[in-house]
Amino acid sequence: MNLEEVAKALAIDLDASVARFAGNRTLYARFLKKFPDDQSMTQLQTAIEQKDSQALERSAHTLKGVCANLGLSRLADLASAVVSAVRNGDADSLYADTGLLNDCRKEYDRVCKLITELQ
Amino acid sequence: MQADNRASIKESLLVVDDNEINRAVLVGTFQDEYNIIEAENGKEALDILLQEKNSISAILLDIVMPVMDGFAFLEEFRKRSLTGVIPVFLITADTSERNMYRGYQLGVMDIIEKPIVPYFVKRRVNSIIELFRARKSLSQTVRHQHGQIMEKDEEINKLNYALIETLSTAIELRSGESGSHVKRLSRLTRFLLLELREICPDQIKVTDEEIEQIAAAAIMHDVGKIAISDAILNKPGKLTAEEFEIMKTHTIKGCEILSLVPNYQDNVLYRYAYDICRHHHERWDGGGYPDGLKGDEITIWSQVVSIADVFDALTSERVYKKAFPVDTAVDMIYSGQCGKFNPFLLKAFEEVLKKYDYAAQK
Ligand SMILES: [Fe+2]
Ligand SMILES: [Fe+2]
Repeated sequence: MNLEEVAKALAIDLDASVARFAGNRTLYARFLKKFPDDQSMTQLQTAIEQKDSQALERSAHTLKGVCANLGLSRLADLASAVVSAVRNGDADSLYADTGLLNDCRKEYDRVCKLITELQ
Repeated sequence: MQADNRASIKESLLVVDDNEINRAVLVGTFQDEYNIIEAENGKEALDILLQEKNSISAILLDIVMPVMDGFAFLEEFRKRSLTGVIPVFLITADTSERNMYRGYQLGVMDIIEKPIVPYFVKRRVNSIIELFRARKSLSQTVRHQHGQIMEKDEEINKLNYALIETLSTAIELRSGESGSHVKRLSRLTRFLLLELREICPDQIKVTDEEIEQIAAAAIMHDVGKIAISDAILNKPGKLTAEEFEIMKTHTIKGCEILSLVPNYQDNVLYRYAYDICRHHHERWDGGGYPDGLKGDEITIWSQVVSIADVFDALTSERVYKKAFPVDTAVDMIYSGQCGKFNPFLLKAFEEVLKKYDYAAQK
C-alpha cells in the first residue's frame, strides 16, 4: 500500500499531518512507521493489568498526543475517551466493562497492521 | 526582515517531550528559524537550561513525562527566577481547564494543543519571542541611558573638583607657596583617613565616598587667605603679634567666603569645607585658633587636615623658612613643637609615612 491508501484506510488527514513534519512526506512516513514501536500502548495495557489508574491516565494521555500528531484521529479519540473515563473516576468500570478498551486495542492493532503494509 | 534577523543570530528553542514523534513534529516546525535543542524530560531540560540560559529564546514543554514532568519543571524554573525571562509554551494533548489553569499559574505564556497546526504555532511562538526580545532590548536601553547619566554626573563632579583645585592653587600661589601644596595636602588627608579607619574602625566610621569628599574639601582650607594682604602673606620674616592676629583671621574669612556660595549650604562637600576652613588650626590641647577647641570637639576631618597641613608646610620652602627634611619634620610634630595632636592620629600618621613615600610625591 502507498501512503495515500494507508491514509484513506485510517481516515488520516494527510495534508495536515504532513504539514506537521515540515511538509515532508518522506519524513512523515518515516515517523508513521515508527508508531508500532511507540511504548504508550504497551504501557496502557500494563496499567490495565495492574489496575493502576494513574499510569492508565498517563499512558492514554501520551497515546492521544502521539496519535493526534500523526493524524491517527480515531485512535486519538479513543485514547481521549479513556483519559476522560479515568478522570471521571470510572477507572474501575473500565477494568470491568472492557468495551472502550477493546475498541482501543482493536483500532491500535488495525493501525499497526496497515502501517506495516506501507511501502 | 524578522526572518533575516533570526537567521543571522539563530537563537535556540528548547523542545522538551519524552516522545520522539512529538519532538520530531516540533523540530520540523521550527528548524528553519531556530537552532533546536531537545530534551526528553524536565530534568534534562533543566540541566541544559542552566548551561545555555542566555542562548535559549523559548521553551516548548510537554506535561506528562517521566523523571520530571512539565509542572515540576515549571516549579524549578520559577525557583531559579527564570519565569518571565524565557517564555514557556505548554504543548499538550490535554487542554482541560484544570491543566490550563495550573500552567498559567506557573507562568507559562501560552498553551498549545496537540495535534499542533504548524502555521499557528509558529505565529504564536514567534510573536511572544518577539515581545520578549523587544522588552529585553528596552531594558538594555534604559540601563545604557542610566549609565550615561552616571557618566555625566561623574564629569560634573570632576569639573567641580578641577575648579576648586584651580582657585585654591591660585590663592596658594599668591601666598608664595609652591602651587602643589593643596594637592599633596588632599592626598595626605585621604591616606590618613583610610589609615585611621583601619586602626580604629569603631571610632572612625567614614565611607570611601566621605573620604573623597573630605579630601576635596581639604583643598579649600586656606581660601580665607585671599582676604589677607600681600604684605602679611608674603612677609619674609617673623610676623608681629598684631600681624599674626590678622593672619589668624584667614580661618574665619574662609568661612565667610564659603557662606557666600548660594544654595549649597546643605551640600556635604560644603559642610566639610566650612568646618575645615574654620578649624584646621585648632589643636588637640586647645592651644589652636580661632575657637580654641579641644580634643574631640574638633572634628576628625579638621584634625586630619591640620596635621597634613603642618607636615606639608614644614617640608616645603616658604618665604620665611627653608624646607625641613622629612625626618626633622616628623620629629618636630611628635615633640609637640607644632602643637599637640590626637594620639590616634599620630599613630595613623606614622603608618602612612611608612606606607607612602612622601618625598617621592613632591
Ligand atoms: Fe591655614
Ligand atoms: Fe595650608
